[in-house]
Amino acid sequence: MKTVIEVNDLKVHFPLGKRRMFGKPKSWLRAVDGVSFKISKGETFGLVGESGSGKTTLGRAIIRLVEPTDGQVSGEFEGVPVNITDLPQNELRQQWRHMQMVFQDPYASLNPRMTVKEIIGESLLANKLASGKALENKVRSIAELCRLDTQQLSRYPHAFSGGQRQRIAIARALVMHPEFIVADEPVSSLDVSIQAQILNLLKDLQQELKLTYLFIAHDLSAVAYACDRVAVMYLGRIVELASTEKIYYTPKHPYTEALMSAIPDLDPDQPMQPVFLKGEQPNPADPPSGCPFHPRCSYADKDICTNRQPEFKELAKDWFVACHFAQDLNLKGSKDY
Amino acid sequence: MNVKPILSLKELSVSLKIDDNYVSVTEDVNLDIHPGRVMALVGESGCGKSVTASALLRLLPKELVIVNGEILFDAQNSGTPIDIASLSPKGREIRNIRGNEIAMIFQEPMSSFSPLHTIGNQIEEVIRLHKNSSTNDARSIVVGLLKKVGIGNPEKAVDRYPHTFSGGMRQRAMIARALSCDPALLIADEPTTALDVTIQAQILNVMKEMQSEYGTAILFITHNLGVVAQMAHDVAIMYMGRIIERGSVTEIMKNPQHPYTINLLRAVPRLGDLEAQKRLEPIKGSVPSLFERPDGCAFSPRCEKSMTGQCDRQIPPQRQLSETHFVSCFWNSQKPTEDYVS
Repeated sequence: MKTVIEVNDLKVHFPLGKRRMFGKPKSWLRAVDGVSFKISKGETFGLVGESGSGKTTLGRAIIRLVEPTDGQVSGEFEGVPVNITDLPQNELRQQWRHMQMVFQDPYASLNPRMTVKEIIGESLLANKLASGKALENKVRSIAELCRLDTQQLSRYPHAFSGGQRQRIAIARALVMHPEFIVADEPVSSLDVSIQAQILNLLKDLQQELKLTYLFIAHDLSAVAYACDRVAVMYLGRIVELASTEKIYYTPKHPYTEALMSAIPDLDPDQPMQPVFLKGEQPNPADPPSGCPFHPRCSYADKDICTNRQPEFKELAKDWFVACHFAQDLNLKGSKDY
Repeated sequence: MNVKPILSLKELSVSLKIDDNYVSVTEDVNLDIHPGRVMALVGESGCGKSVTASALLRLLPKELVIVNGEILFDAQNSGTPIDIASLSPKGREIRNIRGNEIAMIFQEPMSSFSPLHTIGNQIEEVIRLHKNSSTNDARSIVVGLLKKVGIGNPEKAVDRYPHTFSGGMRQRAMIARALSCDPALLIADEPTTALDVTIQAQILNVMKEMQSEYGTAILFITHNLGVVAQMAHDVAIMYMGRIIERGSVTEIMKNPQHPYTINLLRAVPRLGDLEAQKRLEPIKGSVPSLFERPDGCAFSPRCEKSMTGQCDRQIPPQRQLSETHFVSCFWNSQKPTEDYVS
C-alpha cells in the first residue's frame, strides 16, 4: 500500500505561564508527545481517546494548523513526496490543496454571512483555480456529490439543518480535490439518524474519490463502523495501534480494554461490566512518571511501570502497543462483555 | 403494575407563544413514572424531551406555556396527588418540591455550578433550605454524600471550587447535590452526553447504586440507545413532541413496533460484526421544524411504511400491545421479524 502521510516522532508542546523576556517558559504542556504512524492511501485511520488526550491537536499538527514543536510529517500527493513540517508558509498554502479538514461543529465552522455557494467556492477563488462559470459548475458538481440540493446554493447556512451543514462543510473540503482529509469529530454533534447519513456519505465519497481519512472521534461505535485501523491515544501518546477488529476484539493495552468495556451494549440482557479506571485523568502538564497510564492501571507493576516508560513497539505484524506487559496480559475485548 | 405511579403526566401539551399565536411543542404526552424505576425518554434534538422535563419543575421560559394537561405528583403515595401544572411557577409550593422532592441533573456539568462558591457551599445550601439543618450538620451530610458518589478525599473536596474538578467529578458532585434531600424523583437530562465513555460508565454506575440505595425514581433523558438499554426499566420514544411508542426496555429494544423506533435502532453503528461491514440504514430526510409540522402522523413524510391518505391525514391512535407496551401507528408489523440489538 502506498503511504499518503507518514508521521515521525511528532511533538506539540504548548508553553504554560508567562514567558520571561529571552527566557524559557516555566513549564510545557505536552499535548502530543512523540507520535509515529503511517496512513496508507484509501484507508480510514481512526484516532480515539478521552478528551484532553491530544487527538485534535495531533490532527491539526499533521496539516500544520498547529505548528509542531518537533518531529516530521511527510506526505505524498499525486505521486510527489513533500516534507510538510519543513514547508515555508507560501508553499504550505499550496499543499493545503491536498489536505483538508472537516470540523466538529457545523454551526460554528460555516461563516453565517456567506452563501453556501461562496463557502464552497472560496478556496477555488482564493487559489485562482476557477472563476465565473467554471467556478459555478465546479461548486455545483461537488454539491451534488455531497447530496446537497443544488437549488438552494444561494441560501445562507442558517437555513440548513445540522446534517445539511455538515454536508456543506464536507463539500467545502472536497472542492479542491484533496487526497487527505482530517475529519475531527464529524458526526458527534448530529442526531443518530443524521449521523448514519453522514457516515455513509463519507464512505461513498471515499470510494468514489479515493480519499484517505484521519477520523478523530470519541464515539467508539462510529469509529468501529468507519475505520480500517485505529490508534488509541492517552496523554499525548499512542498506546495501541492496530486494525479495528484487533483493537475492539482483542486489545493488548489495559487502557484499550477499559475503553472497550465501557461501550454500552444495545441489548438490555447484556449488562455492561466496565473496567473502572482508578483516580482521575492526570494533568497533561504534569504527567506521571514511567508509563503515563500506570496510576490508573490495574495491572501495573510497582517497579517497572512507575519508573520505565514503555516503548511503542510492534508486537505482531501491524500491531503496535506501548505496554511492558502487552505479551503477558490476557485482556477482554468488546465482544467479551 | 399495581404500584401507584409517583408522577403521572396526563395529556401534557406545551406550546411556544409568539405574540398571540401558539405553536405546539409537545402534544398529549402521557407518561407514568413508578417508584424505584428508571424511565428513559428518548428522541432526537428538538423532539421535546427537555421541554417536558422543564415543565415538570415549572422551569419553562415564559415563551413556553403549558396549554393543556396535568402533572400529577404524589411523593408519599398518599393517593391525593398535587397537580404541578396548576401551581404558580414562582410560588412556595413549587419551590418546596423543586430540589427537595424532585431534583434535577443537567447535561452541562461545567455550567451548573457557580464558579464563585465552593462545591460544599452549593450542596449545603440545598440542604439548609429544605431541611432546616444547621451549617455543621449540613457540612457533614455533604461530606458523606461526596464520599458516596465516589469523590476521593471528600473532607478536602468540600472546600474546593468547581474549576478544580474534572468533568466527571463535577457530574458526581451534581448527583450528590441532587440526592442531598433524598428526592422521590430525579430528572437526569442527558447526564453523560458531555463525558467520555469510561467516565460515562462510572457515572451510570453511581446512579444505579444510588438508586438501589435510595429507591429514587429516575426520569432519564437521553438520545443514546446503548445507555437506554443499560439503564432503563421503561422507555418512551418521542418524535416531534409526541410519545409514539412506550414499553418496557425489553419490549422497545427487542420488539420495537413503531417504524421510527425500528429505524433509530437500525441507524446505530454496532460492534457485532465488524468484518461484515454492513451499511448503516439512516432515516431519510431530517426532523421538520416546529413551524412546519406535517399533517397526520408527524413521522409520515420520513416513514417507509407511510400509507397515503391515512398517515398523512390522521394522527394515529394509541394501540395497546401488552400490559405495558403502547404504540401510536397505523402500520401493524404483527410480530418481531429481526434482531435489532445484536
